[in-house]
Amino acid sequence: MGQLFAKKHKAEPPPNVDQDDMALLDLKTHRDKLQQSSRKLEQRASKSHEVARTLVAEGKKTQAMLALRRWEQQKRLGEDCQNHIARLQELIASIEMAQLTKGTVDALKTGVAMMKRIQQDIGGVDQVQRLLGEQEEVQEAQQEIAAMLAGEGGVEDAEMLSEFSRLQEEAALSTLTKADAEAPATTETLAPDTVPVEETPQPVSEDKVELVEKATVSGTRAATPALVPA
Amino acid sequence: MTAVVMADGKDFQFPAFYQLPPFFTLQPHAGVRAKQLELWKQLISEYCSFHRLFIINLTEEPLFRNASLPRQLPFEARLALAEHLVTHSAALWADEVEAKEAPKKERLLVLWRSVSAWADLILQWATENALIGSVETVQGLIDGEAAQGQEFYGAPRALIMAALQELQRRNRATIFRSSTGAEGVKFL
Repeated sequence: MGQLFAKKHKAEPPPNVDQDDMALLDLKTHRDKLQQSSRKLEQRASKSHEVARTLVAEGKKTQAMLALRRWEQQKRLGEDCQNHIARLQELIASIEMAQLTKGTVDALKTGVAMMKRIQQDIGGVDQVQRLLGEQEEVQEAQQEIAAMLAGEGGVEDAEMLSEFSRLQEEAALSTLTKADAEAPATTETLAPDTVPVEETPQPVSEDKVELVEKATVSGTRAATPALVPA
Repeated sequence: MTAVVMADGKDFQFPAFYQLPPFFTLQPHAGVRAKQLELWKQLISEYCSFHRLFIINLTEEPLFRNASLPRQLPFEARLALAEHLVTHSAALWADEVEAKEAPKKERLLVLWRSVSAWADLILQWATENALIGSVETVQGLIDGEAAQGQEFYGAPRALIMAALQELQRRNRATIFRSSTGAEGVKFL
């Protein structure tokens, strides 16, 4: 199908085939033709040689000489053919090399253009310096913000710590009260209704803290110990 | 399966059914005929592959004649066989690939390797020789120095063209003619 098309429009190559390809094809076709005629001449020469040999055997000198002359001529033509082929091959090789060189140059060109474009995007040394300066500023600001945030957190911590130590105190206080419950109660804070404190040592410290909290919130100490053993 | 060595077939091992006279008569029953044609198809493929035979002439081919019987496949049967081969893409009409007008149904291009497989071989050769992107003459593929020793070296032009057209279908080659009408291919 492609062949038919090509036949009708000889000058118009199909896509992805350019004039260079066509010219190269002509060269290679000519090389093929030369190779064919070289083969033909070789065969003819050997045939002439064969004829000459039989003619010599038959004693026909003049005819043998004629055959030999043909042989010599065909041999010479064959050599010419080989020379042409070699020259064509050299030409083809140098064309293909030139095409490669052109390809290399083209590749370099696009590479350089790309490099330039990227550098343009980067925006030169000033831009980079400016950016670096800005980055420093931004970083400093970020550090300030971070420090600030850390400070606030510290405030919170302090609050928490103070609360924690208050709770600790309370806990210590409650253990003290327990001890007092076993021994005769002396402390003013101890109410007489805090008798079942004996059960409080068993629960874990967490519960104890909870207990103390509840105790502080409600203020009624009698209700809390009843909850603990459950 | 006992194989018989024929004197004119060199070392080709003919299958046993090659010695059976009915094998050389087109069978009337459709089922039997289909089986017979299939056997012939296999035989032709193996025979041509063994002898590296690309083109068989329907009227001349000695394979259709078994001298030891003596029997030969009648022409109508050969034609039916040829059509069977063509429809099963085991062969192409040799003159159809090149000249599109009025192909003579006489010479059969036997595809003991499928067109696609031939195309693969050519493409592999082109890849190995770094010919992708370069131009080659069709003639150069057939008998050029670069193609020497290749499986497709010396193959008929019709086969090479069919394989190149397959490559063109796959977008791995472009077949084109130069301004002087020389036929070439550019591997892609």
